[in-house]
Amino acid sequence: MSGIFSTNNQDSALFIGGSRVSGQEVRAQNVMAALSIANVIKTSLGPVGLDKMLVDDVGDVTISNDGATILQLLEVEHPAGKILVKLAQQQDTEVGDGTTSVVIIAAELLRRANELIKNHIHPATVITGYRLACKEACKFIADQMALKVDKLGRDPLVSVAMTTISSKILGTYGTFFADMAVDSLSAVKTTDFRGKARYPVNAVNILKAKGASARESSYFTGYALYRPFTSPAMKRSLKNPKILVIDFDITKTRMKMGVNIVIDNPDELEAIRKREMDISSERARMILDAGVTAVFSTRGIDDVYVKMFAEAGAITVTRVPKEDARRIAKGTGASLITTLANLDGDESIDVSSLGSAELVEQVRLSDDDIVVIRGAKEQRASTVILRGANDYMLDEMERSFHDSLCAVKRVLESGAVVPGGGSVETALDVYLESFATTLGSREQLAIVEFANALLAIPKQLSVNAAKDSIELIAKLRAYHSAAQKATANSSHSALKNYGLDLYEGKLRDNVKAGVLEPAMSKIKMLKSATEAAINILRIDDMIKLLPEKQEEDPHAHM
Amino acid sequence: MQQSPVIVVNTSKQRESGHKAQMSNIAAGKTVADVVRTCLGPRAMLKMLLDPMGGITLTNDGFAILRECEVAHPAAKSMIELSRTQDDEVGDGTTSVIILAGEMLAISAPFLERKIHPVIILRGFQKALEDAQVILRSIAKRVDTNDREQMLSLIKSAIGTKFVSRWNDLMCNLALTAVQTVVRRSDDSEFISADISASNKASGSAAADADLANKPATSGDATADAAASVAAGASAVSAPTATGAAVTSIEASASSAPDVDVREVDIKRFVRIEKVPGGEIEESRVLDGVMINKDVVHPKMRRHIENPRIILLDCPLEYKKGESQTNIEISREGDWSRVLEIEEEQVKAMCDKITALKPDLVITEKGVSDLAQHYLVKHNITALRRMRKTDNNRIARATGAKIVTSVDELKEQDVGTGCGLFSIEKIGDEYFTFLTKCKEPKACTILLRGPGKDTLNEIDRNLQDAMCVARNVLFNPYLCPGGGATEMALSVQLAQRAKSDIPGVEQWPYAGVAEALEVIPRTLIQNGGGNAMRVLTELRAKHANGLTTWGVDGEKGVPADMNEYGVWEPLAVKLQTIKTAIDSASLLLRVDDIVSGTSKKQ
Repeated sequence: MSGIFSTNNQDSALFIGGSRVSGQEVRAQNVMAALSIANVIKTSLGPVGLDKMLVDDVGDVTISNDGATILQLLEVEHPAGKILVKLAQQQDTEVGDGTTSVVIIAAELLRRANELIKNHIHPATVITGYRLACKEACKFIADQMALKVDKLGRDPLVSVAMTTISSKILGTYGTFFADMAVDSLSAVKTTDFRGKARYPVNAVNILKAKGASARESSYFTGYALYRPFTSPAMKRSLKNPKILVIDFDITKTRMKMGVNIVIDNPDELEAIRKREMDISSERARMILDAGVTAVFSTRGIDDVYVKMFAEAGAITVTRVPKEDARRIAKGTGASLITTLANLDGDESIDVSSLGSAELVEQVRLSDDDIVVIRGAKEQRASTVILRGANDYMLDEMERSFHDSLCAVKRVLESGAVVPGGGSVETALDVYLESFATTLGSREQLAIVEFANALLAIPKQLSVNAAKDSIELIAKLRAYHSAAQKATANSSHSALKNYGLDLYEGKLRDNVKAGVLEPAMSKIKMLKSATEAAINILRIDDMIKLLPEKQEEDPHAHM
Repeated sequence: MQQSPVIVVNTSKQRESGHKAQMSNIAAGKTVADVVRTCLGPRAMLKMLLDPMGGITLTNDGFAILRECEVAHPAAKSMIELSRTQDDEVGDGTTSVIILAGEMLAISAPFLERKIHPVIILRGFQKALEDAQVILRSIAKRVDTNDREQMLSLIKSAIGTKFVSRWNDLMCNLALTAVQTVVRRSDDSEFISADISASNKASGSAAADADLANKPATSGDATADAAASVAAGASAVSAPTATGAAVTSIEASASSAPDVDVREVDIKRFVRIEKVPGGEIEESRVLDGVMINKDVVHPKMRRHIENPRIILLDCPLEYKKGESQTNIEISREGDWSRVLEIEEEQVKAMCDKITALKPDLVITEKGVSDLAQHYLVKHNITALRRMRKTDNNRIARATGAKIVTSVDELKEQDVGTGCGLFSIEKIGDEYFTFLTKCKEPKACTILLRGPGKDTLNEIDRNLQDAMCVARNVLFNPYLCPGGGATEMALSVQLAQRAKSDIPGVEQWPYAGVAEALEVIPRTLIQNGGGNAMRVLTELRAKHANGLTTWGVDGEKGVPADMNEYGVWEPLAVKLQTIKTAIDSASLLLRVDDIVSGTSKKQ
């Protein structure tokens, strides 16, 4: 079989080393690649999906349920497969959740498109059909399915968070983490210049500490930094600190490499030595004179100067990761200072570059000391401390928690939710099928396939739960079809919120049951899955160049 | 259509999916548990481990064994991480946690065979964990941390299983004295946990767990606090049954005052174990001060000083060149000698500043030049150099001196006078500096003597465990019966609840947890050479009648009442063990696919 590649080499009209696959064959290959990617992660979908354990070359273990994480670690080699991996990652960065679903849908779309093309329907027609269907679907979600949660109570938010983490490792702990996600995110609410509320997910700082159990995870408001105060002689807590964030050393000054100082008088040598010390102590003095009581430095501070600060009642934290330093600066309203020099060539501190907060303190977490900044002036921050049995668990907990934060953020910012548990997908299927019949063109076929592709989600959900997918989905479709035919005030219209109950193997009203997802994530998911499928469908030729042969090393012993 | 192979993922990956992956994880977990199984209980056997460098580790500490094992299976790695967590968090129970986690996995295997979905199993486990914590608290009893006898017997039961059991009393005394030496009420810091529990309550989330964990700790602190001890004692007497309520009131009063005295026991930083091979194990002792493996820099310096004035430095007592690269071009004849003079003048200036304070002893983390030694000897000052930072910190705490980073900043209040005796003794072939008879030694050194290096290393590990036990009890003065009694009680009570309170399929895994917990008493009996079936049945009968203190006499392998047998273990350890075991089993059971990057070897 593998001979195909080598014979193609000679046949190739391109006079280059490499292989070329075209036409139906490349499409088949791409689709197959996409399907095998989806196969890997499809068992992790839904509340009863399971995790994957991945071991890399050096033996590091990752246990994850997150589609994007799994695919990233799989080291996918096939180009079409890579597109799907990128797709999952993109979903992860844009929405933060639904990474598995997006891959499953894209793969299903591809599979069905391939069947159509085999029946001599031109890919362009399929693509147009998919585009049309996707547009209709998004409109349908926004108009029909989305439930406005204007008066955002807590309950829908907790439900959304809960739905996200129900499939993950945190799911077993009930609403404990969902509550925490909502609380910690609500605490960092800010308003942007247009007056719209913003919930920056990265203002929620996640710390991981081994030990205790997952249920002892906790959250508090304030920014936590995984570094101790520089010296134990410093105060443990400081009220209303004036914060300076610097990006330079306060160490003995030395000339740049290659600079020589030539002196005549030996006494001057001593003067140079003294001056080296003094330059920095003058700086430290200047910082203290400006009223600074807390110094956060991304670099080091020599012991001598640390002592100066400690004696003045100030605190210092050194070797702060740059990312943290930026966030501290942003949060407290300070600016990250790289040099004290001003335009006049002197050194000075601009008081406006200082930040402030209510409290800086050092607290003990498990076996380490951490610094917490509370009540920062500009931006509130909250910190979540995850506890767990070991590192693998903590890593996965962090990923899951991050996903739920993203989901809550989407709901808070867009204000609309849709019922989960396959209900949206089934409704869309029913809707698009009837929509297809209104079109008299070839696209009709593509739209019907698009509609059926969406059923992959409820199907996979019930398969993962070891339930009878055929019966459940037939029933679910009947419900949604009834709901869509119903007039506004008929009792059937409530059926549109019905979805799967995977534990019982029944249908239920998922809005009432609290299985909710952000509407935006569903729409994004459909759009990007369609785009990715179309991208791959457009390919009808693949040219793969052989890697350049490395010169054989005569010394290598084979 | 022509079929051609499509290579999607890196072919060097191995993949195990579905049932196979689950079973392989379970098998790995069981294997790891089997390695340490014989290390549990008073009849535990040691393991001898040979590392790739040819070094030998001789131990029965679960964590120490597993740390040395090189495992390839990812699930086994995850298991080993558990004992590390346990070691970091409570420092004891590292063997139990592995055995229990292995057993949790083992009992899940039949459930998976019966096609019970892992998610359902985990739900049952979680419910069992919640209930188990409640039961644990109900069978725990409070201990008075000031009662030395009680504390000793407690520590004794914790390290009874270890190699040092021959010198049990001695080691317990060492551990307890050391820990009580470094107990400190911190001045202005508040523990994060207390703070968190408050915020949790505010948010209304289920923080009962974290709260409960904090309450005993806070009350323990309160008892230690001289002022609050009366109040605590009173409330404990007035309402001995409603300890919870009393504790809450203490906590409330504590949180009203912003600066609560909270205990801090930092074993890692302030207790140092110095192992000196040779001599008898009985010669081991806790010093009321610090010992360092150093000698004076100059033979003429005094080696025995009573009530020394001590200066601690973190700067070199020698000429220091500037940081910048400097070249001197000497053109005049006298310049060269001037340069040398400057160097000498500088050293003299430094020594003058020191001698001005009339210290008897100068200790620096950096070097001391010959010239400086000369000046110091002239003023009858003893000097030690190249002290480690950590040692210096301990000395500072023991003697009350402050570490000064530059001689220019030396002040009278930096001089430490808390030490009663400075002396240098020769043990074996080496000289050791003793700073003893400290008035308030808040740091100490444990001097261990013994026949061989490997023996000493093992004693060291056991002593660490013992100190952790003492610390845990100081923080959380509640005890559970040992010898498998706690696990037995949990097992019996959970099994009862499974039948009555748990509906649906989750009942099976819930009852499975009860069954798995029996592994601890069972292993104890087996290691003690008893008849596991018979003894377990007897125990079960006893516990069913509410006798929760009956466990296994690990030496004979027969049932024993822990009230008489006297084996008690800290509640904190028990809680952590079961939490870690169940959490980790949950993690591994959720896996249904293993992709490993190790290249296929043929």
